[in-house]
Amino acid sequence: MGGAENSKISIEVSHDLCAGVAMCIQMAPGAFSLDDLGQSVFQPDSERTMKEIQQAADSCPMGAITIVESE
Amino acid sequence: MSSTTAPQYNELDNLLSDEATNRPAAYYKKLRDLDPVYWNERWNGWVVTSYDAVIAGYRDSARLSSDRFAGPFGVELQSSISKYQQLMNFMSRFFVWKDAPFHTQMRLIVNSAFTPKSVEVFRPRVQQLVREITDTLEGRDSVDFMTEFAFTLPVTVITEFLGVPSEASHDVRRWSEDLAAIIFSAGDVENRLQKGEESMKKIVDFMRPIVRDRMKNPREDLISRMVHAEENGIRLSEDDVIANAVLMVFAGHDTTMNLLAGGMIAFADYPDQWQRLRGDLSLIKSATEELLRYDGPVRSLGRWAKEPFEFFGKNIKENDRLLLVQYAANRDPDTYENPDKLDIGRVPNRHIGFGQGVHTCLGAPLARLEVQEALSCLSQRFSKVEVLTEELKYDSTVVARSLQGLNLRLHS
Repeated sequence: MGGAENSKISIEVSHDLCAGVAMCIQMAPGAFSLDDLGQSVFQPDSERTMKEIQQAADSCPMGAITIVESE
Repeated sequence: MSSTTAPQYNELDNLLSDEATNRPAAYYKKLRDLDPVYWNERWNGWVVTSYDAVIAGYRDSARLSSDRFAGPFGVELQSSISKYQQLMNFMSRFFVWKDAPFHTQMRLIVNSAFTPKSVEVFRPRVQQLVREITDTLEGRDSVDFMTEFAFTLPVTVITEFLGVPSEASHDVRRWSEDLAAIIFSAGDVENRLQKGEESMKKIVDFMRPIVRDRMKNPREDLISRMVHAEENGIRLSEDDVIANAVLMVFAGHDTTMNLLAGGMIAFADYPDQWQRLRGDLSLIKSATEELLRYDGPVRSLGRWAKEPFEFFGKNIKENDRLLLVQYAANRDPDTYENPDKLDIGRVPNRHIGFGQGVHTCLGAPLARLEVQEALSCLSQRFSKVEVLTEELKYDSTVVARSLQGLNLRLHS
């Protein structure tokens, strides 16, 4: 996994799956926030590393966060 | 009140009353209606019962500590169990009772083993187990559902997941019950602590050679993963791995057992919902979530304030205890329409049966998978669920919704 500066990687949070558990916010502070409905939203301008974002994705009990690598 | 009079407590302050134990929804409704952040004089802490406040409490791990060996819980625990060395040594390593950084370290090591994707590979094995157990229940007038199904399935799954021989499952159950008495803070303390100490020693003696073996001969199991994991240059000690393997065996079966049992009782009470599920298996996932909301196995968990702060209009002082009652939050009428009704198609259903925030149940994806597969199989094999147990009785604990036994007639 490359660094957060890698523009070919995008982070998606499925709002069908997200239950507002907020694990991601604790694992990668600043990289995710909760919207008005209590669902997680990725914040692309945060300074978190890909490792921390991967840890946030791994910590999500809903499997709502996916790291998508595009060509 | 004069100083010579014994303190008179409000009857609502008895967290272990018959109503609180056996009819929790009714009990928590009274508390929530009275005050969703209620000062319980007898427990000497705040009892939190509204959805918004329970969620806020769980998310605030910066100010609300889970550490059982510090703060107000620590004072009690240290004074009661300090002479029991095994309990002290191993329980103080349970990551569920830790704050950052130990808790974070441990979660980083084990999180990736418990993602929905990771546990998905276990689904065929769970399906096989469910089929095998269900075969033994068919064509009988009465089944001990608690022992034969609700215990056997999760204990087999978690022991295989960890890499512990499942032949030991009945020993594990006995040890777990003694530990549960302590973990779930039941009454009659001294005798239980003595039994808990002996059980902890037995379960540790059983685990240690397995952990040592995985050090030399790693396998594709969770104990191997914990033994060999390294995060930020730090590895877990042998005792850390043993303690948390013990915790996972315990947490991995007791809760799921009660969820499965509670679920069958719910379906016996709502035969229309059982028929609905039989006719439409696409409802399996929402049905599982609804059982977690309607009668989840964890009633509440404690926290304590590391600093003073205002919480839903109350002034929380440093070292105040808070009991976050997710069972009550999951029945909050401000969040759920007809909260006391089972509706397996309920959407949205953001229940907090697994808690919230950093301590959200690690095993949630595994528990979901087990319940989904159990419901899939049972609903297709049996047309009706009938409870034979005359009076359902629950253990008298603050934390767990722990059923003492459940006999069912499963109609073909």
